Amino acid sequence: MKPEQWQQAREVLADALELKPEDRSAFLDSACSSDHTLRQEVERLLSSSDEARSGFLQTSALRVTLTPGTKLGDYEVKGLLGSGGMGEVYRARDMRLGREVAIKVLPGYLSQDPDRLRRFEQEARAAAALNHPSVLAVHQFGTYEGAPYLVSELLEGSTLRDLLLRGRIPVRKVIDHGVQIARGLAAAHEKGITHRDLKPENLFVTKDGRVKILDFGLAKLTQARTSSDHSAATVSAETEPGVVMGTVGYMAPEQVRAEAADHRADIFAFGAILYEMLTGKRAFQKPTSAETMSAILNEEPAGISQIVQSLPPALHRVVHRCLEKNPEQRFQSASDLAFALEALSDSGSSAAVVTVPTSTRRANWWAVAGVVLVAGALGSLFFWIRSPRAPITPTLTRLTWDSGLTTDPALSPDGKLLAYASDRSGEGHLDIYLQQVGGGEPLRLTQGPGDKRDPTFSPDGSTIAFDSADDGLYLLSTLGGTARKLVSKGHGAQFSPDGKQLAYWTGASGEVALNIPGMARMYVVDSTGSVPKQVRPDFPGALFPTWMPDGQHLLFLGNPDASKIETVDWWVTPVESGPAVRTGVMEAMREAGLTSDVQDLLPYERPALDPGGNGLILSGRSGDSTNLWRVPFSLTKFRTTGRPQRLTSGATREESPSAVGLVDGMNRVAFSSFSENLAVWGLPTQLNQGRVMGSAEQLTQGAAGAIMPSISRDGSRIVFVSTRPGQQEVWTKDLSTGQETALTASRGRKWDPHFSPDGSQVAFAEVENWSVFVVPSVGGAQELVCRGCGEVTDWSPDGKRSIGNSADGHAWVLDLASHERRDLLATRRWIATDSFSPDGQWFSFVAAGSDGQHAYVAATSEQPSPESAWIAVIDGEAYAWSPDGNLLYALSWRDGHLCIWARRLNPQTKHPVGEPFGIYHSHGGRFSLANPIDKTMGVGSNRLVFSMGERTGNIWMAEWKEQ
Amino acid sequence: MPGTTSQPVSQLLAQWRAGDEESLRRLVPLVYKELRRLAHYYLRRERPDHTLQTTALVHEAYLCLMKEPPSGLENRAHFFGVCANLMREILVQYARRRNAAKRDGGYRLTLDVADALPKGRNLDLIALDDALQELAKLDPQQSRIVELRFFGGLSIEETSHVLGISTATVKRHWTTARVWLYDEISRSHGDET
Repeated sequence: MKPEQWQQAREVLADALELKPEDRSAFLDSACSSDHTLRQEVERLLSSSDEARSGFLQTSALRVTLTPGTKLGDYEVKGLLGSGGMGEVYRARDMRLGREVAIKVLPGYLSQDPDRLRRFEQEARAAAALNHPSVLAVHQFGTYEGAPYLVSELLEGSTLRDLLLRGRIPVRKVIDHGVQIARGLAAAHEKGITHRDLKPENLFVTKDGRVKILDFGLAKLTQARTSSDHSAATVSAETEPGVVMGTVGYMAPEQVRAEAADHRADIFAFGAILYEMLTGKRAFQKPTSAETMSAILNEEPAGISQIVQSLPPALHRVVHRCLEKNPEQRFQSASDLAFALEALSDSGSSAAVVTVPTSTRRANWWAVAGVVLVAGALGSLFFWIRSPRAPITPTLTRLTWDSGLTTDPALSPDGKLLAYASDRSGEGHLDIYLQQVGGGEPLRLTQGPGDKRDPTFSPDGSTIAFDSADDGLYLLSTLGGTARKLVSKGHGAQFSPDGKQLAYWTGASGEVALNIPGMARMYVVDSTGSVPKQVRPDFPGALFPTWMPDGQHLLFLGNPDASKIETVDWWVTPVESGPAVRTGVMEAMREAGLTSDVQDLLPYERPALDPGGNGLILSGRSGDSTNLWRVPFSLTKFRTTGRPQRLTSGATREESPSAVGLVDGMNRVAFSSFSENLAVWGLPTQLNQGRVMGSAEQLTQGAAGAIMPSISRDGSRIVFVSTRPGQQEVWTKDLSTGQETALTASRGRKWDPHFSPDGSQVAFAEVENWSVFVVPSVGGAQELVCRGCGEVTDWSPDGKRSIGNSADGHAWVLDLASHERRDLLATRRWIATDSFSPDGQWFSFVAAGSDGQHAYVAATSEQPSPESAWIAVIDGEAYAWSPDGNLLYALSWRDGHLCIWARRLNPQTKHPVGEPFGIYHSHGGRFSLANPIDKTMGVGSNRLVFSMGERTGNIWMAEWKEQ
Repeated sequence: MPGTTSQPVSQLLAQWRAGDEESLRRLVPLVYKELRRLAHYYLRRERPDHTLQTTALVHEAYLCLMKEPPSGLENRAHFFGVCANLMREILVQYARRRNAAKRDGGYRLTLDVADALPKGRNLDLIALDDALQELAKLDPQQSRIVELRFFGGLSIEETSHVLGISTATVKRHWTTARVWLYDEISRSHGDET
């Protein structure tokens, strides 16, 4: 068969399959007319279509499911109804009561925490207790081999989302559905249960027109586990997680702002759903969730009356009152809302039926998932601990004024002195400084190479402990003098309240510390020096110890089970012995939609104790900004006691709080405020020798990031991608005149530009459809050379071909004249960063393997190169050849940081010679090769070019009095 | 400490979402390992419920990615495409290897996948792989849809997001592709089980 024939047969087949078997023959008569071959083909396919469609390939290889006959308690699994990333739904039989039910099994990892499981069960019971016709009835809750499951009534019908896919809903029906939903919500709200994730995916319309609210409280469970931003609230246990993408559009403004939200958030969501039912359009929908959230906060949805004519004005008012930005101005209860809608159903609806044309499309009923069976509701345990506290509005003062990086603030116990780390000396490393908070010249306390970081005061203010680049932990008098090494390995020391001991940790920070046993260990040592004693050796990962005011307990970030991420939290442990207590800080942060800026999933920063004893002060990200928040916390029970409250709201990243209480009752918190910028840097290098001839020089300036640099062979110009907000274009810069020119100005985001060997052209990819273009390097029309090819990574030395990788990691070479493309490598491994040796006889590339990425070299030939012919050179991420082809440069993690390395190659065989050697290291706090968006490197003339991230910032202070 | 193996999935995903394209490339080998483990369970036909735990990593990766990475659709397609492709490769490799070992006895490895085939018949992975290659010649996108759905575990909606086509198109192509594959496998391999 030819592709055209199949396409024709396929369309006829698809149409025929939508018909009843008895109608198909007549259909084929007309569809195939005289084409007998086509008809035969379609008929043959139709003959096996029932078998093919009943189960064939329906269960993904990735989803291992329960087999029919499996018994879960009193229920026997009959078959799979549907599956998705968040679990499977089965039809099952209740053997005791002889009825059909639906069972939803959630992935086990959602609930490996006994605490959460217990609360999950409470929720299920609360929902079951509702016993309301508009709320899905939950019969039972249990766990099966560690996976929580729910048994609910079996429904037949469609979700409201499925109905909406077919267009807007007639006004009369909208009112009818609306009344049912509002009544169900009212019943739940009366019991103190808030849904918090109401959306069309969570509303089910049965075949006989009843509406059921699903998934009460499920949002809570999943959000707590997976939240990295607000949209996570919507990643609930739908059988189809893809459906729920972007349902950030139903959040209330207070949820978007991560403020306390109550049942009135459900009323807002309800308003958005009403709007959508009436208009067929989402009330708030923008290309990205950030924009959608902004629209929720700031914009009114397009007027309904412009979309739906002759809408009863009263209904219009109901929708708008639900969608009020301020919860106080919305309906205050779902029962009021139900009454308002009921009133409409008596009067306005009949008129609406006359005036609003209703859709009568019937086709595709079968396609709407046939019988969508849904289980899933859980009750909501979600009653808020309401925080009566007023918002905190601190006074902000800037304490340092440096152009580089000044960070890691520590306030002395009396709040008068500030210690911090800064590279203001211009020597290229961070040193510890001390200054008066009220002003005055800073005093430099440390000297010498390597970053010194993270100072902290002893309780009497006489001593500062700090980290050093040699991994050691040092003590220093605040009067100055020589630093004394306390321990040879340690970070983040904190003095005990009596000043006699210090707690610290060794090893890594970040998620690796918690996921790989032994990567982070916590110790206590006497301040006079003694053998350090490990605290909580039973925790595979423990870090950031902070003393509780009683001097007997330590708060720390830990994970008692490295195989699980669910158990990561802030814990409190006695210093001596006894059980550790889980604080619930992580969950409180996640519930408020807060995450850490760096690690995304979890807050990974040492908290400061609120001076008033009201909680912990932590850095958390909400939307695009990272600010300080206060999590209410009991210093006796070691548990969180409420919702996080915002302390600061700057646009930069605000982290590293240090807090003290002043004698007049004023709370004072110093914190670092910084931003990061990406620029192209050049390193003067004798490229064939791998010899660095000077220090790295910043080649691009400005607020927009510059990434993915390539340099012309003569070294006179660079080309790079500029990441100005909202666009990502290719620019060139003449390094002698400094003139920058944009080479592209189209809509798509550009990727990885490369100069042709003679410098006259630039090849680049456009990300949206991975098409490759060539443009004159002085500017001009861009020529499409390959549609959907992927990224282009180099040119052949003669400039006639380019090489690159397809979007799924296959290396290709493209003839630029004929546009013919062929595979370079015979492999199914993931390939990246191909580049030709200067003579074109060889090429290098990165191949992903189970143990990481390695650079290989292979000989250029007409045939795809098999893996057996590859020469392994070095591990790492980006590669560039020296001009003589006898040295390969790489960005590699081999010393624990992302740095530039090189390895010599035998000129003839290209086999590596000797060990890799370091070219450029970036281990400090200010500059990082690992932060940039890309990791490409280029060589030209006498320079290595790459992009590097730079972090700059200063220290600020927030002060407030508790009300 | 090579960066690739020491960086956990969620961190790589976070970096990737922050726009760090390379972290995806470091992520793939990790996911690959997990997929290999899944394939192992899948083929050994161990008690399936146990794998609810082992799928956590892949689920987590999928979940994270479904939440709109700022770098857009093409990245999702990229990642899921790779996963689906890897899963296919791993399973078929296993199957071929096992076949080679058992060739003398005329044994052909099949899978007893619940619901994979009606009437308890087994799914021949190698035949499926061959048929998919044939389908790719007729319509690469349809072959891709099957790969994403069956080997990648994506739903109709997810597949539509990843490929940037409507759910209606995915459903239509998915249905006809299955009919075609079923027919193709039955015809080329008869009813052997």
